[in-house]
Amino acid sequence: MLNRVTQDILIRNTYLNLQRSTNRLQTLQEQLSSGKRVNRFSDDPNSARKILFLHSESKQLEQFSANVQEAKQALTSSSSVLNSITDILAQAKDLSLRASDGSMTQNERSIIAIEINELLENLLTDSNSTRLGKYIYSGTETDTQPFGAVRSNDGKITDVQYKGNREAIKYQIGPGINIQVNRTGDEIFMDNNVFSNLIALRDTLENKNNLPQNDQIQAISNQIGLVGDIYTNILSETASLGGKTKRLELTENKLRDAQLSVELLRTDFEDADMIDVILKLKNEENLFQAALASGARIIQPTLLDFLR
Amino acid sequence: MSSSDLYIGLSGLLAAQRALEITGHNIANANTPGFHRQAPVIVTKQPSPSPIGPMGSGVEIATIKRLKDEYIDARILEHTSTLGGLKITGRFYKELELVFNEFSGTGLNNVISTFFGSLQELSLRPDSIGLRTQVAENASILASSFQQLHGELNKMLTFAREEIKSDVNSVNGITSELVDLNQLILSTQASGGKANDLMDRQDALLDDLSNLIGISAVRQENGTIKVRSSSGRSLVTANNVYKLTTNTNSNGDIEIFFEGDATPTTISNGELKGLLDTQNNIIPEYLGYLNNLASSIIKELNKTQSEGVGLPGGFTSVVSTNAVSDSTVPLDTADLGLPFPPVNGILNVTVTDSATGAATRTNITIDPATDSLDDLAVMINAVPNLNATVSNGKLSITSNSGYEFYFTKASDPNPGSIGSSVVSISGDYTGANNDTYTFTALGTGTIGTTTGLQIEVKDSSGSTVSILDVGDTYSPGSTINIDNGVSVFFTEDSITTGNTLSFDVTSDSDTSDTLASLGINILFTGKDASDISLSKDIENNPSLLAAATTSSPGDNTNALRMANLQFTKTTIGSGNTTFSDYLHGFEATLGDETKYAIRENDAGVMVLNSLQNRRSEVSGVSIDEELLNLVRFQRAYQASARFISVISDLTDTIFNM
Repeated sequence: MLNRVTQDILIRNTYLNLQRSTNRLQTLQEQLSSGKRVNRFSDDPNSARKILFLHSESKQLEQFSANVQEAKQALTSSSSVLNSITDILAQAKDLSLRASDGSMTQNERSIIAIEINELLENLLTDSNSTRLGKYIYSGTETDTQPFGAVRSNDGKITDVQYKGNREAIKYQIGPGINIQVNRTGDEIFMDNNVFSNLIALRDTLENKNNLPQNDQIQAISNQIGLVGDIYTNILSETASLGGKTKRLELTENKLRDAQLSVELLRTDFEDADMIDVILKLKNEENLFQAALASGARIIQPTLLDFLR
Repeated sequence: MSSSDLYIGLSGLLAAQRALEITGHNIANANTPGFHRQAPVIVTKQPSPSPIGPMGSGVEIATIKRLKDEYIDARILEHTSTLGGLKITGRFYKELELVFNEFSGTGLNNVISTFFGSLQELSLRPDSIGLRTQVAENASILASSFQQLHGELNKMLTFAREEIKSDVNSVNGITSELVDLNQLILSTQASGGKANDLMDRQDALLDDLSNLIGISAVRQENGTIKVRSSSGRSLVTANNVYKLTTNTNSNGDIEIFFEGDATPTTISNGELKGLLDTQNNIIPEYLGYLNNLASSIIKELNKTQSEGVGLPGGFTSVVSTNAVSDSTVPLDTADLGLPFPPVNGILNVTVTDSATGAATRTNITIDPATDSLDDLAVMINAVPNLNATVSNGKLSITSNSGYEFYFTKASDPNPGSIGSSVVSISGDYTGANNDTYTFTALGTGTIGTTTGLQIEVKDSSGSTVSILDVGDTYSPGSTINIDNGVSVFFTEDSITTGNTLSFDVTSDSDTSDTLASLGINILFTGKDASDISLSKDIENNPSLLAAATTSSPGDNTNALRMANLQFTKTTIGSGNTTFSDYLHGFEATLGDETKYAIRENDAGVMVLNSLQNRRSEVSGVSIDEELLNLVRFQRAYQASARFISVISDLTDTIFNM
């Protein structure tokens, strides 16, 4: 069918085609300048939803990583204190082994008792350790010094009391997954009778009760056994903290992997493929120029140009 | 040869001249909207009889034809209407998309993530004032983001309403003009003319009118146009115009009426349809989503906040934020002034003696279908050392001096003794439901000494939770784990078979949601996106942010509960989902709908374009064609003139004979 083509049809079509072409150019230009394939929901609603989800996910993973870091630090500082305490206990054990030698005089034992007392003071200081200004072993009463000493007139520790509580501190390391990052002083020191045993050991070495030497030596070796048990218990506490730290490291790696894959996915959905966009832009530019050129050619001439 | 020959020449001259005029008119109006190409209808004049048969008597222009395809014109009107509507909805969808603007990193998604992130950070150092201030700030940003979005959407709504009014005015303007033109056409045709150009002006007006409102137009026999709205009501007849008017209903929505009607008319096409859709459906839909999300965030965070305590620990005085309009009617009465009513459940209140720390727990059972605020005050008043009063619809609770109170889930650390052994409880109960644990001594003896001594723990349903070995293997004072995060320790004292002790373990200390409903110790005030804000108390004193369930500075249990809300599915709108999933869901819907609107709009432009091209094929002016006609009629004129001069020469010849 031969259509009647009028000037306004040519103009209307040229205009529409140029409009569509500039629209596509604008989209590509936006992708290039923002580096993103999706700049608003309607660009790709399906991807947009996933991108938003991945943004939230990435933020959460970041926070969980930070929490794991913090948990690791808390556990590490706790286990370094425990290490120093096992050192103290080992020293106490060595000293008392020497003191259980029958050839030692009471004077010499009293000197060892002074050393044990020194160790006891160190132990008290360690058990009141802080991290970031907060007591490590007082449960959730982090502003309360967990261990208070009762001292005799000559300043010797006669008893140590626990002033914290037995509450766990937990950090969140995954959706709904909380991990305990503290051990209370009650569990570590009081339940193991750390202080009372060292106090008793010191008192025996001083021979406060004026025992005959044989009984005294017997008492010392009994207490050496108890100190040995405590040593083992605290060592196993340290080991369990170490195990927890290991598990946290695994979690940390998992979180890092997860974050990487989230990032990759997000890039996949959200970021523009530059090469693709540039090629499309070039192509669109050519089309645009062709549309302009052809428009210019067919709109201008009329019969007027040829009627003379 | 007669004078009639001259008339033949003259008729040729006149016809060519007329035709030239028409061509000129066409060229002049080549770009006039609504103009239809005109063409002379050239016919031979009535022949005169002669002996040799009828003799031709020249030419005449019978009429001037307006080249027009009624079918295409009707289709154009229809599609102009459709496109008018699509343009409007497309525009509003695009604007909505811009308002929600998630991809520049400032959208709600980001704000919500940041807020919950800061809660998690707070859980690492619950007593840090700096982190508390940060949470308060992020909560405030969250609230103002909701309010701002709500405001933007409302502005769009106002804009749509204004546009409806101005469009209705435009419709009335156009229909009046159409009637005026009808009158002119009638008078022109009465005097024998054909009012082509008046009709063209009407056609241009119809295009404008169809953009605003769906219409059908029929050209009558007498040349006038009759216009009906797409609902079938007359807008324009030969003599009358039926005007539209607007009215604002009780919701603030604009309704469109025919003047004098009591019920609004249906507008089924055009810009007005798009605007009404925007006003009635599109914006309310997204306002609804926004309000649902804000209400849920307010409710869930307030529930958790109200079940915790800040750094100062327990309260000595609290006042509810939300006032009820009538404190004597049941709390679930509609429009009582509460953001949401309490539900049937219990409220757990613990009163502690500040000096000794001795705690008394009371469960207050609340049934909102029967209990009024006054009833609640009476129940709280009955709790020893607590006083509750209602004034101006607000509940205020104070404790006697030397006592403080709180509503947390923390278990009573010192529930009492079993036999003569003192029991201490620690740990954060992680079970799903509130429960009561009962200890029963399974033997007689001394804890920590008697071989094989055991204590049984049962829950309220009577099933055994755990059996605790407290015999010679137990070191008195050391912690034994019961279950669900709860631990216990006993002093070295005697128990006798059958000794019992019960205590509550709580997962939700306010299953009735009374605190959040009344606004006691809350994080956000307000009921939805329109009025959500950070509570003034917390804004002024972030240490009130309830990160804990006890007064211990290292207690972060409630901060963890708050942070965990981002992963918890709750009722939002009609669904059960997490905050961010709900947000992503409706924003993706917005994306889908916007994309659809844009595509429809593009398709509409294409269809209208091709229809306009088809109209141009029939009615459009082709300059080339007109130039050819110009040449053609010029030649005809010249030839007729030549004919007259030949006849004139012939006459001269006779005269000179």
